Amino acid sequence: MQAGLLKTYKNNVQTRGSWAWLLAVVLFVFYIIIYFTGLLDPVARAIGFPSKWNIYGTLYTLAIIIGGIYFLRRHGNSRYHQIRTYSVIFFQVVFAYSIPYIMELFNMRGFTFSIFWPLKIDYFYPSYILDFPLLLVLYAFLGSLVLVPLLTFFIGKRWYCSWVCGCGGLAETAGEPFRHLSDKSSKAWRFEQFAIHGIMIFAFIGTILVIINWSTGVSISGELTTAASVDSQQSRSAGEEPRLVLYGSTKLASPFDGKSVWRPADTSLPADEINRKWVAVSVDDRRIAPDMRDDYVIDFSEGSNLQVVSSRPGMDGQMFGTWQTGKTPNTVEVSYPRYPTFSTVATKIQGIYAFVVVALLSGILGVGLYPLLGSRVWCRFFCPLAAIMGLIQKFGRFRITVKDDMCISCGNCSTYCEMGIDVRTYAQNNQSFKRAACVGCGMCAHMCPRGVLKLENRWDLNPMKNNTNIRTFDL
Amino acid sequence: MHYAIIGNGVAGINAANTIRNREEAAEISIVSYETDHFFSRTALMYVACGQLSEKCVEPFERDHYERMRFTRVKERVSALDTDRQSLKLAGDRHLTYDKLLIASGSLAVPPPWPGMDLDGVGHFVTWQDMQWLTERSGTARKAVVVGGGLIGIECAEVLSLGGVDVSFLIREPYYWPVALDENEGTIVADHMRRHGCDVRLNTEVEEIVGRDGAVTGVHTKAGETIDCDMVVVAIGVRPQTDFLRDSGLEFGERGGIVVDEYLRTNLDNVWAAGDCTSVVWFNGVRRPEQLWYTSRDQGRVVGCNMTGDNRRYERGLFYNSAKFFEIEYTTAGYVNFNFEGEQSWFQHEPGTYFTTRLVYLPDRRLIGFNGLGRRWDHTIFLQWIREKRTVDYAIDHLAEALFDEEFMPTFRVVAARP
Repeated sequence: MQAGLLKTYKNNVQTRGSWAWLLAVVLFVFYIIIYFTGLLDPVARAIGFPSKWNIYGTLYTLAIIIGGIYFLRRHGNSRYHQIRTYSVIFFQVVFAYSIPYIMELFNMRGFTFSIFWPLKIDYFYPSYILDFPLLLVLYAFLGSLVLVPLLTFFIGKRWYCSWVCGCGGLAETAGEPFRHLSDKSSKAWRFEQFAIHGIMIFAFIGTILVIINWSTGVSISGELTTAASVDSQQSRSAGEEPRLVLYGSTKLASPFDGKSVWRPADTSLPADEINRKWVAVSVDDRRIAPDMRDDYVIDFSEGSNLQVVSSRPGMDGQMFGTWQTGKTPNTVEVSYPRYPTFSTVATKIQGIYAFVVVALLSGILGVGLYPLLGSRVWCRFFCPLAAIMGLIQKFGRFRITVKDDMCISCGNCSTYCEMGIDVRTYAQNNQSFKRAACVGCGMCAHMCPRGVLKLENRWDLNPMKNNTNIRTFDL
Repeated sequence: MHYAIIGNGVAGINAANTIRNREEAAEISIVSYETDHFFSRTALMYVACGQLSEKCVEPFERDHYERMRFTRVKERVSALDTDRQSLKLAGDRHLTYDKLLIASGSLAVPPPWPGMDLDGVGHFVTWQDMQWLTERSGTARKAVVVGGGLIGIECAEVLSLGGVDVSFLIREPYYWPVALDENEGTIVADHMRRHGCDVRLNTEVEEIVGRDGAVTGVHTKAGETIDCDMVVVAIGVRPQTDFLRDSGLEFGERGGIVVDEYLRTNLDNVWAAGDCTSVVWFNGVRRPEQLWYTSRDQGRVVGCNMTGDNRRYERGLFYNSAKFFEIEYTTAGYVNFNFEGEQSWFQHEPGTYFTTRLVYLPDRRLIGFNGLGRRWDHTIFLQWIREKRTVDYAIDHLAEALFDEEFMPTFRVVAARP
């Protein structure tokens, strides 16, 4: 069960040496290419994938499998680590990778069962989740609001963070060589508390705003068959509300035939007005055209969201309305906000969250900083789901029990804690403890050369107060 | 009030912390030449092999001295003048004190055979030893480790990991007879051999030999010669008290400072704690106890007593733990103390290196425990021993004392009951 020695600190790439910096740069560049460019789309199509995101998913899954094998070679002598590693590989391969891919093959939108709100913030965005069948909507809500808190109360957030989660999965496998780089200082702990709860509140507020915006929205529907019918469909709502104009299309057939050509001609507005007003079209949050002056081929399948975004001065980036193919062929539903100013703010916050938290913190920084700040930068400082589970964990059964008087203060526990918890301070003070950040990876107990630490679920919910040992020395 | 503490180890720093907690205004100086910051000496092997960095083994954050307002004097004390209440430092300088704690720790025992001054021969006790070993093992190809104890096996493990071929010379017929029995010692030695260590039992050194001032090999008393380019001598430690020879302090055998149950020395305003002391053990024998845990406890007790408290240092039942490569070891109570009529119940779980040994007296009273491989909560055994439980009770309740990781193979009693 116990680990043999490791040569961690005699290694350039593991000690923020030149190779570590190079690796970090490579990861940053890779993430920027994936997130902000379409460079990999042709590559994806060439190997038979629908988009670059499939390449990313495949690489991510491979990293977890290969990293998992590496981890098992180092720590597989412990059954806790064996089972835990098989678990993260299983959930990544089956739930995060295969099931959504298979669903897409059957022309459904891919749904990831192993991810919950607010880590997947879209699961509480009505316009997103209500596109899924009712059972999946129920799963997303009950999973996030019932399953996650209950399991966390009973066995700690480890059931998710180091057994199921894809972010955690990568950290526990491919991130294994870098786990000791987490910052153990009390300064880092203070930043952690500030940052992770800040992001959690950000996620709450963002979700609530999006729900309010959606529930006060207005939607109209119409038929969409030919150019003429599109023109006739120039939906106008009464009074001050925004006008939505559909441009004529010469080849518009059934939206479900997979392709439709849109051309900004024959509209009721002058051409320069059009150019200023309608600037971008996106399908399912993927921007596909910078403006509508030319012909575009749009992949347009059932359930897609066609978004028209305005760039009128002062309304930059505002979502002007949402086109959605209707439940029956050849119909289209158009929804737009009743309170445009509120909608602007809500949409802006949604956009900031998507960029800062989802793209920047969880992807680019979260993984890019592995070789410099350890594998759990995202999980420790920013993940809103980890923040919620951490608060529940503080009141739950999971704790780390410390064996009295046996600690030799060597520091293996603290060093190899990927969450930067200074376990040694508790261990040398005979202090069993709960920490919100702890993902229960079990490495502190595993690395301890004196068997002082043990992960446990127990009903005495406050291990801190049971410590009456007179040998305890409290600073 | 100026408290001077000689030694920046676990006893010294715990005493300093305790004094600060009890006396906000005290002036506290910690005098030590070894390192700037307190480090865990038991973790030296992890720094040597690269599992931990130098900073990792510091149990407190680096601003600790500043925050606790300790004055850190990085000097070697060369003598103690009790009349003037002052410590002699290098270059004829002095440091006066109102109260003095000596917590100067241990040094390696020098071996009786010739050849210690050769290049490539050293010990593994101090920070400087660790630096030497780390550097030397980078170029060495073949090492001899002498001494079948804990430091010896740690060196063997570190050197093997670093790719150095190791011959491990043990004077006794099996590994570590002070603490293990033959079954246990054999399991450990076999495990070492599986890791590629050349373990040689019943082997004593005659002489360390070299050429041009550098070591080339070791002659054993059996007449063998083992070629090597590095030798680590780990045949024990002794109190580091030579610099106090002329101070009027009373010393016990092996050079430990004699202290009473309040850790006072025979001199006024001078206390001593940790490895450098000679204390009375449970069986009435006076000798040093060179353990991390006892030094820590002594430091805390002496810190209270120096600030006016009157606490006895109570040794309590013996316990300890260690790790032999991957095999963890836990002991509690009296094992290998050879009480009259004592017996052992021993089991070895098949296919593993997990063993359990219970030592008991003819009246079936449990007095000691040794465990290899699995993790055990020594405090449960100590409680059973204090409660005078029988060996039969202990066997029935062994699972309660387990401290294994989750999902470990279930513990079962497989050996016949006594």
